[in-house]
Amino acid sequence: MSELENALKALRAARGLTQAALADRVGVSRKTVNTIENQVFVPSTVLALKLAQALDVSVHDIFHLSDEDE
Amino acid sequence: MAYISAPLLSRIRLVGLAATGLVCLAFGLFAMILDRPDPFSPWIPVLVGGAAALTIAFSAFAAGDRNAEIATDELYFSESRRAQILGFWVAVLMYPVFGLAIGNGWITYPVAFSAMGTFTAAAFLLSFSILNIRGGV
Repeated sequence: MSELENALKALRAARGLTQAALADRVGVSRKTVNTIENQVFVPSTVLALKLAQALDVSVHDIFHLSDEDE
Repeated sequence: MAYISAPLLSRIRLVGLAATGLVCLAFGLFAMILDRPDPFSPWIPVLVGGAAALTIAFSAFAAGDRNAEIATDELYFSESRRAQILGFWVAVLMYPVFGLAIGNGWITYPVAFSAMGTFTAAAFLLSFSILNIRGGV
């Protein structure tokens, strides 16, 4: 079964942003960013788009399905 | 200028809801243990819950719109929904459990009424608190 994976942590770190800084940019709590990075919480489409906008990438660069590479 | 940050507002909310949940749980448990519907003054859960609600409301006001929005972001609503679902099923499942207890004469109607009411509140409040502390859904 496909599972949602994400590269949020790597993309955030590559831009020198802390979880708190990214959270502040998109208007959510640091805990929300942390739970998304740890794949505990799946964000809404709106938040996914905001994260992509804040990191200047596409949503698909952040989120992908586990069997997409197969 | 905001006097309370979003993380502090979240912590104030957590403490308020957890304290109210614990008092409700204690009220229900003591009602059953002591076999009386008023094991301690019913005003205590009312006052703790009321004080928590007022504290959270004033804290949200002092935090300002942006911090209040951050403290009630979509992770908060997700945790709240999970806690509501759990609270609903606890409330539903208490009917057969307490029905059995009443039917067998293990518990009286007044004690069951008192315990079920406070357990229903405690189920939502404590499950939300646990989910919030764990930081996930």
